[in-house]
Amino acid sequence: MADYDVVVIGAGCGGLTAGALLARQGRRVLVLEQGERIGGCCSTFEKEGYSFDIGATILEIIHPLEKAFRILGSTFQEEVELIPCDPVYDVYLPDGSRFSYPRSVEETAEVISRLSPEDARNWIRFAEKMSNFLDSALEGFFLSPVNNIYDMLKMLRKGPGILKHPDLFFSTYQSVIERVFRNLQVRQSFSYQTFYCGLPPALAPGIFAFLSFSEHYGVYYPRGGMIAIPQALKRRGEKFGMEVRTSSRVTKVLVRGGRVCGVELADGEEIASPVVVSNVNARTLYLEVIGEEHLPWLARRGIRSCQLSISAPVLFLGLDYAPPLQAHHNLLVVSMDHLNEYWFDRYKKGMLPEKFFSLICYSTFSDATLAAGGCHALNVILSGPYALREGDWESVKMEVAERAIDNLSEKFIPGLADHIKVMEIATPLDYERRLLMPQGGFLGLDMDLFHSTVFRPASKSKCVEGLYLAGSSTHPGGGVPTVVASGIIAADLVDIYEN
Amino acid sequence: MKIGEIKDISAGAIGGLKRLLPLAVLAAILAGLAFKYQRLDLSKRRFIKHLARQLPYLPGRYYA
Ligand SMILES: Cc1cc2nc3c(=O)[nH]c(=O)nc-3n(C[C@H](O)[C@H](O)[C@H](O)COP(=O)(O)OP(=O)(O)OC[C@H]3O[C@@H](n4cnc5c(N)ncnc54)[C@H](O)[C@@H]3O)c2cc1C
Repeated sequence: MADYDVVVIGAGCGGLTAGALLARQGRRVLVLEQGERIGGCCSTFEKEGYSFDIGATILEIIHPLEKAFRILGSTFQEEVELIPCDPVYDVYLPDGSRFSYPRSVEETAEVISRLSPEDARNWIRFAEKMSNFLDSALEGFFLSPVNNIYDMLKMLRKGPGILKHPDLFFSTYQSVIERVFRNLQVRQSFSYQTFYCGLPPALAPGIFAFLSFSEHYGVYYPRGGMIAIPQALKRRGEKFGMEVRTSSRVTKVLVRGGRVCGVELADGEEIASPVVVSNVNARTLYLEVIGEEHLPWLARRGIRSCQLSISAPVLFLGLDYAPPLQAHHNLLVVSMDHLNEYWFDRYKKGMLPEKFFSLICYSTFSDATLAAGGCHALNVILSGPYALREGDWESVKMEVAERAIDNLSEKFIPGLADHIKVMEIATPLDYERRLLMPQGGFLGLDMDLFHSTVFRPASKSKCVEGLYLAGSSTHPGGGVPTVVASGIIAADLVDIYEN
Repeated sequence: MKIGEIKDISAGAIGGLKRLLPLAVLAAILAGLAFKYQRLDLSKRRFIKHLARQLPYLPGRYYA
């Protein structure tokens, strides 16, 4: 007799979505989380009166979340108070000059027209194209399983509009942006978004050009910090009987006769279950938690070849003043060629960047409750690889932080260095140790064309019966709404195949 | 040499050429692609190289 109908490994947003939806189907569900806190990279920690988001700092394209909460008998907006972020972001050019992109497409065109009237017109055309593309992708791509070629054809039938844009599939992010926009500064203002899919502009597929538009569909911040999302998923799941156990690391998925039969925890406890949903990185899952011996050789070769996604160090700063920033998200940009140079000449060789670029999230700009008494919190996403060529993260992290703070104080945030009361640094190594994300990869696996759809580890395992995947290393990929979509897909597949 | 023999030789040569034709076309296409590749800018060359390197692993990824 099984202890549970379904065991979910990991309480990230992907795992919690799948768990809650499976409990809603009437199944006895246990979610096991190795950490003390739920949410994985979509979570919030406290330090000396300041609340900081561990990873994700905003939400966009919230349709999958709306769908998940609807199935759970509520609404996303009822469960989580969403604060709209407008402007969607501020751009800081390398010379320190700044401009702001409002949510409205037309108002953004006005901002762009000050730099280039021609590009303002190009922006309007680009926004229209991307809006069409995104609408089709939301229908088909995000919420459909893509385990094989037939699924892929079905997906395209659901959202045939995707095929109207072949130019996006056969070019790079960089060439799409350069084809559309002429002005250098305008191009720079759309450069950083390429890292939202974990790749530099020269390698990111052209379809990800939607990232430089999708913010205008709406960017939101949950009141109370990003942890409000996993908390809401947990609350809804518990209403249907889902149990969540923290500080419970799964070390083995037990497989008998090619089918899962339960899991083993680090303390030796075994929990029997005919279905396992994994929210663990697919590489770790297959190569360590399940074991290569259970994989056919071709699948083993495929899994081993999957590239882990980009990582970076993040600074968490608690301030005793209001920094002179005017938006929730602030992009300190450089040109796309510089981002490519960083990737090929430095990141891939274990070196830190030469030129400074960064994403600064000013969370208390949106939600003042995250720091008490007029104080403020910033997350600064820097850049740097997991494996350093010289030294190690423990020995260089203070220097990296100090250099970044000097740079920010000097050019972008006057007074910053004198107002830091609390500082914490998370290096790629910390992400790996604390959240068991291999090499601290922010998005699980790479997100290029050959790590997508049928080439990303399947939502319904092709190697082990009764095993399903949710989270950033399966379809549709990394990002909070995206992993929620993966959780919906996993729950749907369990419903179809495990009755 | 008799006329019949000449015919035989030319038929053999034409047969050989016919067999070589697909290879020649393939070589021409590859040469064309290589030429085009060389003329692409660095960013596009990197994109193609990045994808081409992964081609051998795609069957494995499909079955994972
Ligand atoms: C710095 C950073 C910034 C980001 N910014 C954004 C953003 O602004 N917007 C956005 O949408 N996305 C953003 N992302 C991406 C997004 O946060 C992730 O893609 C998403 O949260 C991943 O969710 P997940 O369900 O795949 O799993 P994860 O969040 O990785 O959670 C997996 C969980 O499984 C647990 N676990 C792992 N192994 C085991 C085990 N053996 N046993 C038990 N438990 C285990 C882990 O502890 C973890 O809690 C960001 C990510 C990072 C790191």
